Order: sequence, then C-alpha cells, then structure tokens
Amino acid sequence: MGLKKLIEEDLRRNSEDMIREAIWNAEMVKKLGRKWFEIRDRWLNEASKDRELWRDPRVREALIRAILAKDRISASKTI
Amino acid sequence: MSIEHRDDIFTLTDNISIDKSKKIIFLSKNELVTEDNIALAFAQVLDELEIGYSVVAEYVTILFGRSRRSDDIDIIARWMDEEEFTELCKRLKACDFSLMQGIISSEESVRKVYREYLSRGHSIRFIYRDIILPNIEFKLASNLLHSYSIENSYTVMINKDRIRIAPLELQIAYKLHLGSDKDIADAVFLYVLFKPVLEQKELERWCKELGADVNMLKGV
Repeated sequence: MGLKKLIEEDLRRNSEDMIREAIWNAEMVKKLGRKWFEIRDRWLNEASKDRELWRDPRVREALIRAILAKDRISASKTI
Repeated sequence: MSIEHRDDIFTLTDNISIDKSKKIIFLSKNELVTEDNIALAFAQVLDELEIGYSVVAEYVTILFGRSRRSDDIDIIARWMDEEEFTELCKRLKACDFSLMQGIISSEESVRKVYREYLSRGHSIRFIYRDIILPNIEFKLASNLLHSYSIENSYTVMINKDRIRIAPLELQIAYKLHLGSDKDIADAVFLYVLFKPVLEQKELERWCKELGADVNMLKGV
C-alpha cells in the first residue's frame, strides 16, 4: 500500500473512532444521567488544573497575545 | 433506554427533560463546572439588560455531557449600538468580566473596541475573573442564521439558573456543515442524545440550506 493510501486509511479510521466515541458519550449520558455528569465534571475539573499556570503574569500575557494573534489570523481569512 | 413522554414534556435521562411547547430544557446537576459558571454569569447580565442572545457551538455539547474541553464559549447577541455596548460593558465589569481587546473600565477603549471589532462583524473576547481559558467569544448577529438562532433559541434551566442556546436542529446541521472530525462527532453526540425530540424535517431543512449531508447521521 502506498504512503498516500496508508494516510487516507489512517484518517478514515480516526474519523470512525471519533464518531464511535461520540455515540458512546451520548449513550453514557442517556444511561447514567446525573451520575455521568458527576464523572465527567470531575474529569473536566482535573483537566483544568493547568489554569494554575495563569497566575504567572508572564504566562498570562503570552497566552492573551497568542489568542489575539490567532483571532487576527482567522479574521483576515474570513474577510 | 425508555423515553418517558408526558404531554409535551420528554424525559431523556434522570436529569435532562424537555418541554417542547415552551422550548425549555431542564438540566439538573450536582455541581457546576467552570464553563457553566462563566456562561451563566455572562448570560445573567445579558438577561438583565434584555439583550437577546444564543449560545452556540462546543459549549452546548459540553453543557449536555460531552467529555471534552473548549477554549471558548461562543455567544451571539442581537445587534446593538455603541451606547448599548458601553452599558453592557459597565455591567459586565461589575460582574468581574474584563475585555481581552481593550480596557473594560475605560469608556474610550470600550467604544474603540465596538468600532474596530463588533461593528465590523468581528468577535471579541471577555475573560471572567482570572480565567483565560475558556473565555467568552462574543459577536453580534450579522446574518439570518444568527438572527434565527436567537429568535428561536431554547432556554436551558441549569438547576435554578438559565441560559439560552440555539435550536438543536440548527446546531447539528451547522456542525455537519463545518465538517471537521471534531465537529461531526459533536453533531453525532447531540443527535444521538436528543434524537427522540428532534424535528427530523427541520434538521433536514437546515442540512439542505447549509449544504450539509444529513445522511451522515443515518445509522447512528
């Protein structure tokens, strides 16, 4: 199999995996309801712990500059 | 999974139900995450000033249990003039929001942001307290799709607080239209979760309008 074919196959599999995960996620919400939100929210709060970094003013300033730069690029693409 | 149906109220899970005639979704949660707190604080200010709006995109999926993070909470508000925006910023400042593109405490800066960004159709970002991510990505309605999503929005009651979101059929069609793997997965998530209460014809209509392939949802 050529390299292009291999990459295409990989991308296709990746898309299928993401859709399967989304279906599983929705089924978990339906099946577990409130309990799912408890589990998910615990994960979401853990995943947000890198926010502590923002207390450093240099990190904070750099992050804001990066967001604004990204916005300028996407704005220039849409005009 | 059985769906209880009582008049116009559908119970989807033990903590999500929908009153279709009143366009209200009830969501009960034990605790709110940062994303919820930021979105609700912003929505409360918009409600107080009677500014019509709708929340769109990723946060809507997170709100309903999608297990992923997002860098922004996208909010589209009805068109407003410079004076009204200045007033909005005063209220937002009092509620601990700051402006990424300008200085929220300076009227001159706020007016400049309005002229350089909002009036030209660009979005701006508000930061809540010291939380940079996620932030509120805010823009004014500038096309029919935006206006439709505001005028036909659903109210989501999160415990005792409320927030307005764009109609689910439009959100799903729009996500399919965007077409990245992540967007399609979000569309599938909303579709599978809300399937029993979605208006299929409305979904097909929006997919047609946006040139999105509704067949992608077949079989899920």
